[in-house]
Amino acid sequence: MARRAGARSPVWALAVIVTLVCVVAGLVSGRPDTVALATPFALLALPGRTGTRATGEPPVRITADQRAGAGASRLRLVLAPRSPDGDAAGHWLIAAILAAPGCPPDALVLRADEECPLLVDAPLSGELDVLSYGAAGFKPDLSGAAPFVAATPVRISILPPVGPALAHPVSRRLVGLAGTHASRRPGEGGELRSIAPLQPGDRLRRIDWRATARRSTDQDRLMVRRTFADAEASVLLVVDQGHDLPASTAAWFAAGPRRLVPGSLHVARVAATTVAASYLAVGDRVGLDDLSGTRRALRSAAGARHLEQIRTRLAGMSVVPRRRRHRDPVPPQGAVVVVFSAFLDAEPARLLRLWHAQGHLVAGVDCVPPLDRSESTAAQAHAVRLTLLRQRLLLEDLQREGIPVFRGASADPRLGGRAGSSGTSEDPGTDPGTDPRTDPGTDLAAGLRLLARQAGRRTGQGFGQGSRQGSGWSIP
Amino acid sequence: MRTRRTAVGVRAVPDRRGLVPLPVVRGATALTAVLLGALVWDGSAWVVLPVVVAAGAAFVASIGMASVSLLLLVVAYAVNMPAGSPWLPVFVAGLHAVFLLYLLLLPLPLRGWISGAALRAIAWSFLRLQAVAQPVAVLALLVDDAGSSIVAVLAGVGALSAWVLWLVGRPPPGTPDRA
Repeated sequence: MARRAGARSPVWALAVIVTLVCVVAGLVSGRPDTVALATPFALLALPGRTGTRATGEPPVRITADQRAGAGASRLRLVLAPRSPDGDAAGHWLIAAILAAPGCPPDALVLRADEECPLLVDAPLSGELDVLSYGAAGFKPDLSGAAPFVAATPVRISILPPVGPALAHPVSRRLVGLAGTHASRRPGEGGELRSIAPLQPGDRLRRIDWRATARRSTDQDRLMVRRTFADAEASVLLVVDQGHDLPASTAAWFAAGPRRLVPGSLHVARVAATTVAASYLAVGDRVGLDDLSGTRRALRSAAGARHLEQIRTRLAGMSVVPRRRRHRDPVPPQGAVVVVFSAFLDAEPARLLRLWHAQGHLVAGVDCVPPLDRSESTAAQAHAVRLTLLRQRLLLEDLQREGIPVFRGASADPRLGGRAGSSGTSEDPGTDPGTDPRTDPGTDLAAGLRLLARQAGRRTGQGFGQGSRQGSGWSIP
Repeated sequence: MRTRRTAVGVRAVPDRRGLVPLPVVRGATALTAVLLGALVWDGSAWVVLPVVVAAGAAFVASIGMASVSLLLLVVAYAVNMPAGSPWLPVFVAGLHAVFLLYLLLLPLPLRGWISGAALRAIAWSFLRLQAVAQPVAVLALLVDDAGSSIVAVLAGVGALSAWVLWLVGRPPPGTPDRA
């Protein structure tokens, strides 16, 4: 932070010392040429200890480059120095110290009147400090100096991308009077429910003249078409932000600042955005909650603006330890509940079982990204394998209980290029026979498509028993 | 057991031309100091000492090491170089350059960049001081050679004083004339 005193430059002290040494050595040895060595240092020492008081603001400013083209792989910033004392900018030099996450600091020395664009790495999604920086100023002859002032780090927020539309399975118990789904309630809609004699309260435009001609031979009864009401589905997306499991297993054991490695939270953001966009595109209502319970849930709503709210809320999600809840989240009646988690502990599975037992249509999305097995010691390799084995057992328990869990990493094609589709990289050191995650699982698009087909078949066929079907899932 | 380096972050890099990497500047500083040390410790095995200290001072952020390196050069000049050596102007310029570069690099991290414009500004400031220091060095050589000739000494001091007064009295570059 800014210091109140003027800068204590070592230039003056060292210049005085060298001057004194030269003069004394010259006088002792009787040599004027040794005294002459002191001339530049005496000239540097003459102005005295000049320092500039800190203004509290760093002498540089870093902003996003508005001219940068979209889609670039790295983020482009512009570093603009300014004079520390408001003097002519050309009389000062600025030394900016830049530190990207996980990197040692670098220096950039510029004149105060020149700008410099910078390229930094940005996360695939989410909010993050991408660059910490500060700066000090000094005169070209080093005689004057402004103290180092640290600036607020450059923080950016990148919204998760929207993937291709997915299938949208819906519960039988639909609510609302708008939407594109046929409910089981009589009302205004497009799906034929029955043809019956006209009753008081029936609208005249509902009269089916062909049915009347066919069924009422005496023309004494008018027949009307009755339909099922249209309704919208309600979906609750629950994101587990208790963990962010990096794709590089070496980063699981790394201490220090967080590196820009995509993790399970990024997968959760992208998958949740894609699922939300798929439902919102057909007029359904989507709500968003998290397992940490630190923020209020985003209310269930529909529309394109709501999608932007969801993306903004998802981008702002970072790792937050779970707090003890007084009560579990309550999904809206008849809602589809999708839990996005790395499933490293039992809490997400417990909630899935709870909501499944309450009759909600539930699904889990496994957000562990394709792993780059880069752990470096045998102990780390054992730890990774045990973690993945425990997660796999947890997911298999859910599958046995009829709760489907899909692989969320398929929602972001950028992650597919990082590793093989099996969930692990093509690392020759990885023994696929002992890796618990060699089973890729059902990806999100295929899983939701299958779930939607089963839900539709069950609804249309009136309802088989809700026990396990061919895939091991059950539809409430 | 596999050995693989832990993935590290990616540095922020400037996206423009005309920047000199700081390791190049550090290397040039160390080279200048080593050449000056070789000049004054010529023929002695002790030359290793200033060379090591100079290289360390250029790459390690230590004011103590920079001070020791400068003092080693100054004292070695006073002890080893003969009086009236023609290398004096070179040594005055070199010592000043090493001083400036040491103190420029002292607060900076090991890696980074410096713009060509900033280097030119530092060089211009260096030349302004050398415009006074070099005549003083020449005058010192004159005084050393013709110490008994009071006329020569007075003429040299007069010429230097006039030069310094002209330097001090002239307007700084970029100031508009008041005609």
